[in-house]
Amino acid sequence: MSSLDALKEEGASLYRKLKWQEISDSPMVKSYTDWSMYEKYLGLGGDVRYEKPEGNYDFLVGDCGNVEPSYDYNGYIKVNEGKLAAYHFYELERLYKLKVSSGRHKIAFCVPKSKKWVSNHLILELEKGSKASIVVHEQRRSPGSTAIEVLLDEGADLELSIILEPDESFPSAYIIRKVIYNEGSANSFTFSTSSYMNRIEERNLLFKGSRLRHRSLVYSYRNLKVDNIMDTIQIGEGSEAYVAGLGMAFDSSLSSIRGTAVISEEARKSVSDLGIEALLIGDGARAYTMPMMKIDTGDVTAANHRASQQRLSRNLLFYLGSRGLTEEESTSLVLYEKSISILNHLSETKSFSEDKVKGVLKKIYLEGISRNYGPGGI
Amino acid sequence: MKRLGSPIELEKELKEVMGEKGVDELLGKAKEYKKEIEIRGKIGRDLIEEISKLKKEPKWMLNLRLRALELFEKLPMPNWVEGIESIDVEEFYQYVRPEAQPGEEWNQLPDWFKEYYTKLGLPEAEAYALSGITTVFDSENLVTKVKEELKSKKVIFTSMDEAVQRYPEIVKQYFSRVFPIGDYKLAALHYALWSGGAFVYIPRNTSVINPVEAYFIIGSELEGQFEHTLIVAEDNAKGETSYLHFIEGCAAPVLKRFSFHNGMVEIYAGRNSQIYFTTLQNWGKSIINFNNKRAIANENAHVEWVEGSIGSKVTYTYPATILKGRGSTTRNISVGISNGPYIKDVGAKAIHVAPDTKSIIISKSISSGGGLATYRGLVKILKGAKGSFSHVSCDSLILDEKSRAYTLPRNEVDEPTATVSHEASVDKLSEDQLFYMSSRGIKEGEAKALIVNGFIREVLKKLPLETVSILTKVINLEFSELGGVG
Repeated sequence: MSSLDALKEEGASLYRKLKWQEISDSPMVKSYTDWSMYEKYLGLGGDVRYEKPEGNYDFLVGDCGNVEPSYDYNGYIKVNEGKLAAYHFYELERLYKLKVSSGRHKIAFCVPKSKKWVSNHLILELEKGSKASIVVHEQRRSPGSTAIEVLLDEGADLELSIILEPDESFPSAYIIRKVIYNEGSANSFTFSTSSYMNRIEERNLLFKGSRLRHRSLVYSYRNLKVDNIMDTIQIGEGSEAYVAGLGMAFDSSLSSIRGTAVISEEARKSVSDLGIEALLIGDGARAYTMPMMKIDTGDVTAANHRASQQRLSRNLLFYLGSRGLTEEESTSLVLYEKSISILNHLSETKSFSEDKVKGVLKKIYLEGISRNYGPGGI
Repeated sequence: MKRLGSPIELEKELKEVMGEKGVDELLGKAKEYKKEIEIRGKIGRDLIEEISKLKKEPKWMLNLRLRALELFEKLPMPNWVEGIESIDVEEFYQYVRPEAQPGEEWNQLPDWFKEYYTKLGLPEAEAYALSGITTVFDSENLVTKVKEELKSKKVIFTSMDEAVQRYPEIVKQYFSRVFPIGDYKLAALHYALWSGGAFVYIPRNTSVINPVEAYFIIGSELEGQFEHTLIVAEDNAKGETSYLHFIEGCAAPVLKRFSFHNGMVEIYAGRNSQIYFTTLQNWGKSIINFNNKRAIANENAHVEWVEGSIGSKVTYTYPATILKGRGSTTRNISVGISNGPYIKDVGAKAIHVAPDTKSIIISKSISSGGGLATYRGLVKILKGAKGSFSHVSCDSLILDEKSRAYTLPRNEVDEPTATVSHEASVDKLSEDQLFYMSSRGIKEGEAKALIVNGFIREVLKKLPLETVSILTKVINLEFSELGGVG
């Protein structure tokens, strides 16, 4: 366990030395996260104001909230894992920990308003054998990073929805870790809108006999960018991971959806399934998918991955058109249904997530963010 | 000329030659042979000028080498793949010329060469299956045989060095046009040190019925081989087409220490041409193999890469096609086998530049005996490549618990009207299958070979007949009792 002060100090000395990333994502693109967007906010001073988010929550995390800060760190993010982690800890003023028992919990972060980098950090610890459902909602009006770490003790069962709404005009980074100890089980969902540059770096660690079913959904619009990474590392025998990500790129935006499924040498008789889909909706939209797999044992029960990038099916839109729907109505209907169907593995947090997804889609359409809806030429 | 009839026929022909051993075992320990020139040292201007002078090259080629040297010194080691940075390129002899007089007839060469040549089955291939062959030993081409079919059709087939002397205008036009000198550090190194290789020029409306082959042999340890192959198919007029199948083979005897191969293939496929390029890489287990393969496909051209990657200590190879012309297509089939504590980092790249282009990538990788088989690929669809399509399929088979399989695809779509899909799976060897076969008296090695051949059967169906039997045979050898030794 490290103290927050020690981490801040280490972060301060490391962030100037460390690189954003050591290995390029691609020989041609180099990095899917445009790190230069973050670079200009490093070391920038200024005041930070925190506001209460709208809505009712059991726990409010931050200066406006009802959770006591903690000064000891027992999470899984290493301060030296890269420039982002180092700078995150360097700028971190308060660390919050919540021990969660069985039941339903709604958690939100206080909304930071600032032009300087703001770091948020929350660790959720789920008790052994408990069964809980948790919603975590983060909105920000500042550049910066938010770390959310979820530690499921042995046999714990969790349903988790994380809703992220960064400020479009600043770069944002999310470092999400889920650690599922022996025989634990999680159904999780992450939803994010995009920003100037939005990086969502999720890493799931699975111990023996644990199980994860995760879905992520990201929207990008205007000329904004989102890079959603879903890594799953299985280190326990008989673990199972079913992970899927969907990205929708409107206008001239970029959605990058990727993940690496690792089955380590010790994780014999494990299952990994990774599916990634990107829909190109705008005429200038771009989408990158990287479903990667690293299988370090020959004793694997099943390991599959797949990816696709395409426009909406012309046949489907034609069919809906023949039933009297306008092109805009058909497209919005298909996008809505596709988005909502990704929540099917949720139960108690489903309606909250559904409302948020619906709200953002409505905003996209009402504000006319996307001018070109269906396949070109229709 | 005899056209190959069936895989069984070819297998029969090769059986005598291949015997029952792995290829490096078959070649045995490295033979002692005299070397006329060996160059090793700091890779700098003096060394490059010395190589160029030995080859009596024109000034423009020396300048190209020096430009490459400059870029090599400036460029960083690639950071998109792990492990390359540990290669010390100055540890190897950068140029080796064996003491032998190059010619058209293999049997006029020294005995040590004749022995390698016959053991690899090249006389039979030359006699029955090919319309031309060139063999590079260390840094120089020793045998280049051009048969009547090529001569009568005015197809140029020669060593790359000779092409520089005899066809400077064509070489100047296409050399380094497909794979730029400054693409990355090891490409620049290749251009600075290149020696040997093959050059093919296919006139318009010309189809070469029988394949041509280039065979590369590294004879000694601590040696670098930097051969360059350039294939140019002229633009065809409307209604015309041209066709060539080029086979590339590689081998090395058992070496005590490592050698380094950093070869390059450039293909310029003109309008309506079809180029099939097959590699049967069976280097010995002492070779660090780095391959640079790239093609440009112009309007309605088709480029097909087949990569059988069996041998070597470590192999990095990602044949790429740039689909530059409307309606151009590419298919890339790779079979990578990592049998033993070796690494196969193979894959494919398809860059869609023009509308209505299509790429299909199929990869089958097998890891066994603690091996790591990696598929690493890139599909890039640039803005404006409207209606383009790409499909990638990767399957891995792990034959035992300690072996590993990685699949690392990248799909980058900048054109919203394009469709890209990717699928992959990893399977293990079923103990039930092995038990069943052993109960029928089939040895473990044979059973593995059978299972591997079954696993890649779908791929084999798509390959030219000339390739199928050789690949099948090599896989059988790899999993036989002696295969993988060395």
